[in-house]
Amino acid sequence: MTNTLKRIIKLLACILMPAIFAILGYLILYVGLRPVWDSVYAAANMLMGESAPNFDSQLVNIYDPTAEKPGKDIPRPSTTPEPGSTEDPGAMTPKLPIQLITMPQMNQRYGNLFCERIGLDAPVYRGDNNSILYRGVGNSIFSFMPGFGRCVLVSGHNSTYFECLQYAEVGDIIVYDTNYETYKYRVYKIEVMHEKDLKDLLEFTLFGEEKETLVLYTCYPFHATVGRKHHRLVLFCEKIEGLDIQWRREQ
Amino acid sequence: MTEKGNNNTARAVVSGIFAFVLTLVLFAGTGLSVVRFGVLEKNGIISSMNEDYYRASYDNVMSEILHYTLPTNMDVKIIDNVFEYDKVKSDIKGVVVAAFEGKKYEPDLTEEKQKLENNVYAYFEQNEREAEGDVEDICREYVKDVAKLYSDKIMMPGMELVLKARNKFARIVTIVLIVLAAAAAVLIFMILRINGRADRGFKYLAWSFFANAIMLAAVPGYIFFTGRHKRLSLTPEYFYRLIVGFVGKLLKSCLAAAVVFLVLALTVTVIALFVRSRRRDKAEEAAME
Repeated sequence: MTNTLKRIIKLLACILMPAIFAILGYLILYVGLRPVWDSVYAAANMLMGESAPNFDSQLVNIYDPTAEKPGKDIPRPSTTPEPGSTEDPGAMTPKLPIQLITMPQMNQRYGNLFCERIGLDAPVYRGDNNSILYRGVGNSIFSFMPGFGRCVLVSGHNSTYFECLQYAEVGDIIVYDTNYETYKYRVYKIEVMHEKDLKDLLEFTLFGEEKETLVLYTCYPFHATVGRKHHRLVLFCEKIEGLDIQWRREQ
Repeated sequence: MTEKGNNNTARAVVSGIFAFVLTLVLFAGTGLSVVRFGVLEKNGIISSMNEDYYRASYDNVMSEILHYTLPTNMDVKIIDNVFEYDKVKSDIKGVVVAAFEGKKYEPDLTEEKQKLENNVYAYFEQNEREAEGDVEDICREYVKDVAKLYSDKIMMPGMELVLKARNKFARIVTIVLIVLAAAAAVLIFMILRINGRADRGFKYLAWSFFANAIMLAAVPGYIFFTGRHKRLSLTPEYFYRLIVGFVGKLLKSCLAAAVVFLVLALTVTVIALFVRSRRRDKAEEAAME
């Protein structure tokens, strides 16, 4: 073997042997830690997200009351069918395609609640965490948004935007203006309920119904007290105006 | 193969095995040292809690008290000027220092409780608000709840547990490091002894140091440069930044240690080449004589 070849082999050995040592070392670590690897990996996966968390996603506003609604050219449904018509009015009702709607993300403001008579003027956010309830009212992510033909659940503090709910009466008209359409609801029932009863009603009845009901609720009583309040003042409202959203194939 | 050839092969194999074991010992020792004397060092942790951290913690504590106060129907102004920033900062630091010593820190809130009580009574008097029950009871319960909330929120999530584990870990690691250092010394001595010639022995040491550098750089470097350690889903934000900062420091320390071992490997290689060259020169001189 020539001297040059020997030198090349020695030089390669200086690189290859450490690399082999490193690979074997990792292999031994893997084999040695295998019994605990699954637990460690599962724990790490629980703590890891798809990407770094974005703490800049503060409360963002996609609601502009002056902007044109996407369904402005869609004819509004007539409330009474023409005399002699045998067609199902529900089947002919024009709907707003869901593709035209900008769906709000969590913590985004997408609407406003109004009721002139009681002085209700509350920004509506998607979600109902503490930050949202400090700045407005929250549309629960476990419920739908207006127009989807299902229960719409909105909560707020009774010391801020929902303080005026104590003055609401049956028959009041609540305007729910969103970034995609303006809806009107009429209050048909006002009740003070235990929070557990409200939870059961929502879970076992309202959330499953294929009927659009707006449920506004806040803590009760309105007097100052300390600790957790267990009762809720609940306003049940039925939709009287606003386009339905076409979001299901069978529609 | 001649007997000398067989001996050379056996020596090379045994030296290789020792060098590999030395790699594992060095890797374990370096890793534990980085964690023990770098990231989990008391002064390191306390110095990581900079002004931004304390400011963010203060905001978090006040936010929690605010959100507790809102549903009570009392004006949130009753908490204004009750908890000062310096007081919160001092309590947070106290919690951490006590946790290092395995003790529990109880903040002294006598002054703050009195201020809060005064604010609550003033609120009811000035606003002629109707209360659900006796104002005194409401005040007492509210102040008690806020004090408890404050004590809970100045503690970093999981801090007590982490520091308890850290204190136990520190004691065990010190013993393990002494054992690993002794093992490394024995292995280095054996490698040099088996090979007789210093330049041959240094070759195996250089392999070991270089392999250790690769092990210290490969996985930590991959995690650090791809930013995978930033994908931790932790809240609140200041706690996330603190933990990501620690993990980042740990990874950078591993990379720094890898550079040190790379330099060691190169140094040992240069020494080996120098020693071999001197030995050849002497052999040539002896041959000429």
